[in-house]
Amino acid sequence: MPFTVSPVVVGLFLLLLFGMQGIFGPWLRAHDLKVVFAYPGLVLATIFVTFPVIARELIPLMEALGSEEEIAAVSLGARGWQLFRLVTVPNIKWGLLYGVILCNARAMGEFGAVYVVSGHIAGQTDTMPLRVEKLFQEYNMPGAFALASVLALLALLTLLLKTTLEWKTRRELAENARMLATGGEA
Amino acid sequence: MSISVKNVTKRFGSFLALDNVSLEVPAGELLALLGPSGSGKTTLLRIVSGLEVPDAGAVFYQDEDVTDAAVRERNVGFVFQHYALFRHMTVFDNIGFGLRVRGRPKAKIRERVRELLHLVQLEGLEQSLPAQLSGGQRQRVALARALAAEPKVLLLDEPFGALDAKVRQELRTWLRRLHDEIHVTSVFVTHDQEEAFEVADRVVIMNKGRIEQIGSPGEIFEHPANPFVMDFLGNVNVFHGSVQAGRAHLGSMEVSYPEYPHDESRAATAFIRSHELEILRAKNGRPSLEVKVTHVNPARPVVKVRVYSEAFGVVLNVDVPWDRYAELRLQVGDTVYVAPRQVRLFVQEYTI
Repeated sequence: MPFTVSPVVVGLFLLLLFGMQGIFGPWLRAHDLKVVFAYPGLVLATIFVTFPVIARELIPLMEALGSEEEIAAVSLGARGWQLFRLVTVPNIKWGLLYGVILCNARAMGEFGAVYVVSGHIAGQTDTMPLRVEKLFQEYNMPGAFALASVLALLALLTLLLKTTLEWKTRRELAENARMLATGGEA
Repeated sequence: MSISVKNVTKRFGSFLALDNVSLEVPAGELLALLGPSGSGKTTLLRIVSGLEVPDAGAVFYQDEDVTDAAVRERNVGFVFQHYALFRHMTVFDNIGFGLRVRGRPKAKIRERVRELLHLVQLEGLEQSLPAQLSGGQRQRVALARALAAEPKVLLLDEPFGALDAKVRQELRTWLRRLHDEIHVTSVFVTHDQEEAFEVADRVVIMNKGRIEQIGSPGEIFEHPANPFVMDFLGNVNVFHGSVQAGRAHLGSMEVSYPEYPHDESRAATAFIRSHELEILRAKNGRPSLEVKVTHVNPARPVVKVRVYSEAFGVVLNVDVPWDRYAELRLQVGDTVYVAPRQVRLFVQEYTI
């Protein structure tokens, strides 16, 4: 679902929830907590828009893996966190890392949602795309271009990492498929 | 450690998987749960292990009620049909997993894994990954892994189901030997009766969530409790007839059945195993059926002959020993007589 929601709507929705006039507004104010126009707001907005990226990466992978190994681990006496750390994470590590990289890319490029909740407090609630926009609006062309170049460079780096990992996960999935296929053989 | 299951019932939605099942497994026994798919055998095993919780009833290990205990607290060894090995761990780490999560010291783990590798005859493969092993080797790793933490009971869910016939046969013999060596109370699920009869001390035959019969392989084979068991064991010819006043009428055959002395006629089903039928060239006064030979298969330790009875309208399978076959010189199309040596009759419950 979050995939299809416009980031600006997400920002607005956070504003309505945590803003001064929002549902949790009075409670937050009473406890002296700031969400909107502050760092937590940026984090929440980014999580909301990046969450589906990692979910879409991991759900099919975990479905393909099945729950057999987890059940086996439980039968061998593993506790919840041991199960997760020793069995689940190693099996999905490449997919997870791939998801993290995509998330990172999405977070770097996110503009709409953070734009709404940031409040444009320079040096405090800034992300790189927001700063690029601000510099551009202030006719600071060299600054805007410099920062934009850094973003573009990071994008290239991400692309490189993504391609490497894609290749790794594909190989791992193929190996899983092979293991299942040869399971019946002697 | 003995296991007792008391009045266990389990439903999955509207499907009744187990219907008030009770079972005792004495300490050190190797028990087989045998039945067609959907008979509830795997559900029963999973309830004993704690992977599944019963809707009603209780499970005891020795005298301790473990019905509500988590799998982790029960200390069972569970072997899965598809091995469920940890694919990213080496054989060594797989086997040592149960000890590692229990926080045993590294040296202890190493020692125990060595011991188990020797037991399952996989020395030298400790650094291999599951994907590099054959099916039979994987299942032995799974077994070693289940045994590592010295479980009180060992539970195996169709352990050889995914293996080919030859490896299955080898592992069967091997499991029996292993059990004789370590004597841990074991329960295994299978739908292969040959496997159950060959490996287990006692066999439990299940059908539709109920236990049909419990007994040693010999007992079950010699005295099947009911038509289901008889039919499930296979290699059997079924006749539908009636009983009256101590006689059973099966088409033109009449055999004595003193267990039913009543005058009222009742429908009955007769089971005659294929090796309990004898082929005769001529009638000899014993109850027999006139049949025509339709097929002869001499590619077995016994010759499998298929005959057709026109009067009865049934095809019968008869096992003929080789020397008898040579004597008879059977040809397809011959008219011969079959006489039962032994008939098992089940009189139907009275229904209108």
